Amino acid sequence: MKQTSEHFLENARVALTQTEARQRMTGLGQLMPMMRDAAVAEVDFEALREHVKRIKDHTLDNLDHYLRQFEEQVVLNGGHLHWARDAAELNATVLDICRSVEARRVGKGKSMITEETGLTEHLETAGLQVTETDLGEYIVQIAGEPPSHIVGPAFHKSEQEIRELFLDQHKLGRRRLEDPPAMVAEAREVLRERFLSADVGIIGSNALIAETGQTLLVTNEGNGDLVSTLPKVHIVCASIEKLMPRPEDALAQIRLLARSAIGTAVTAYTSFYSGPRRADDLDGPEQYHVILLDNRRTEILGSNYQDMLACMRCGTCLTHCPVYIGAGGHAYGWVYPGPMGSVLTPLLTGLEQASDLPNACTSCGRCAEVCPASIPLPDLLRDLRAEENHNKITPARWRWGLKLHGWLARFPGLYQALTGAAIAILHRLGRRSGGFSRLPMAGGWTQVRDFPAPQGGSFMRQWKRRQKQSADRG
Amino acid sequence: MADSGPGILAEVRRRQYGDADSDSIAEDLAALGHTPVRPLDEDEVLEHFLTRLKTNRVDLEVAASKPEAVKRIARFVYREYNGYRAVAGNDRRLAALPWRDGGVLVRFGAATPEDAVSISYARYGIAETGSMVLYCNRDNPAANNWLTRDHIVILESRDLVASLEDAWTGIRRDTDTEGLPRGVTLVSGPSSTGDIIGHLVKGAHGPLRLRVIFLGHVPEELLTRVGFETLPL
Repeated sequence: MKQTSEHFLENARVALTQTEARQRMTGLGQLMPMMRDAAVAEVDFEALREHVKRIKDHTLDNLDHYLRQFEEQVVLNGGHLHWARDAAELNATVLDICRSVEARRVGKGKSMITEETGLTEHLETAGLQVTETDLGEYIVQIAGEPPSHIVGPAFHKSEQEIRELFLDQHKLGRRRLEDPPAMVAEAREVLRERFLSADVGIIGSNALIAETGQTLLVTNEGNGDLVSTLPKVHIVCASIEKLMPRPEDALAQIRLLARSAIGTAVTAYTSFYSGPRRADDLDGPEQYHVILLDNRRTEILGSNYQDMLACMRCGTCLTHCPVYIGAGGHAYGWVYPGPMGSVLTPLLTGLEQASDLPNACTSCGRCAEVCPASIPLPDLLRDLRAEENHNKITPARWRWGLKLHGWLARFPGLYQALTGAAIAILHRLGRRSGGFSRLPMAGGWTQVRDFPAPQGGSFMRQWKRRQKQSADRG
Repeated sequence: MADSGPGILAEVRRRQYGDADSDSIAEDLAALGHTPVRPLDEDEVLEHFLTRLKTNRVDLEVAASKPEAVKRIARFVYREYNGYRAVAGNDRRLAALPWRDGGVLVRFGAATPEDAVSISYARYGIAETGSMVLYCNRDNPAANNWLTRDHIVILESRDLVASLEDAWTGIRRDTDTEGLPRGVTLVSGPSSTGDIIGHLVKGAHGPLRLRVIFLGHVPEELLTRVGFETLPL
């Protein structure tokens, strides 16, 4: 997919003017965390995520061992395992498989990996008919838009927009499509035919099990299971960090994944697939392929950013992020939005063209608090910003400002005196109006809101006063 | 096409932190253990299972015997479709049920788009999540899980286990004797979607309804407490 991350600020500015979409996003930012909190309260979240982190660290520390074990098991189960160094190799491998069986129609389940490689476009260019079968993915596919959320790709669209889209795209005569159930029923009918006529089914995977060679698929709709079952060829596209040693480790992850993603203990379907149909099976694919994608993940392995490889793509950091809720998923300009995307996009596509993303962070820390994979997202974003500064990607005046601030911070007395004086001046100047509509070097702030006049002295001054008071009392 | 596998594996090997041999890796992994969850007490298992079924929007009927299970299925199929037909896999336990006496005309095989009702026999039920463990194999073709409008799953009370890990212990045991099935699926509810403005709708692509026939005894008071109706035969 075409990346527009370098236009993040402009994209976000446009998104902020779309009042209705913003209201929907605000609702999402209230509803999803509420559902997540209720579901997580059923379990000992801290103990669970600590356990999963230990398993994931162990897996990544011994990744070559588990990758080899997984490969052996896939082959033993009658499947084919392919490796893809980058997007082009994955796309070419899939196309080769499709051509080898003279496929004309492809049914796809939701797969972020194939969004990353632009697989649909690649196959369509080669003349194949590709249908996204996850309802949200289908909606954005026929709308000609990228997904805006990794779990709910069409969360940004209103009911009326989807109604108009269906009325326009499905040539089914006059009808009302009065509510979401009516629209879902129509999509079910339209997509049913696509499931049944697909020659090749392509899905992603939530985890790869080294011990058994199984690939895990978690869905509510059952679309991924249908494309894993009905077409004669089943292809699973996954990235190398998805390995888990044992089935029980994937089960541990499931406990956190469904709760974090959609606020339920489990999704409707949790499937472990392991190959083509067996000799006496009555259905299932004749061929089973797993494609393992690297696409710069080996560069992340062993680096300061390795924790990011534990991400289970639940999307909870998105709906907990004030920047994501404000700017919406499309502003991020690539496959992965929100805090996880702001780390992953620069690592997978290059810091230079995604340099705004690590700065799209208020450092509020909510993402790290709720992340089921214990990823210290604010720390990783800070490290990326430090790298930007080091590599001179950050604008020169920012760098000079940071340098000055860094120098000043080495002299606490001077720092406190200067900030104290600045606050006193601002307090005096803003006493009457209570705030400033313009300030030098803070135009970005005052352009959209007033800067409140400081009250009650600097933080350090207040802190010292408080300590003195408690010492006097003690 | 050139095989990128050796190159990727070498790069992984070069960059990863660990450098242990297989035996040490296995020891390290074993030491990490399994999920730290509080196990359910034996007397909690059934209520927890039923509560989860309710949360997962699963319909439930309790049958004291196999003939009763068939009669309940027959009544449901007749009520919903004014007919008697259903499709089921080649599971011996399904084949042994008294379908003819109960009034259900079962076709044994894989579901087609024309089939409205499919019947499966669960390997295990999981109280922790309210899931039924089904294999995709000759006994239960995968299409039977996802192609029909109504999916009926029979679960014997003795196959109900407490946790996900308990279920996997059973799956390992089955795999040792029968081989690994193409698919192992935990079915925990009807197919559903929230992709249109977060509005939850049942019947996205798979079954609109999931109906569990629980073979065993459930006290009426418990059923009522959880919120299920007791349906007379």
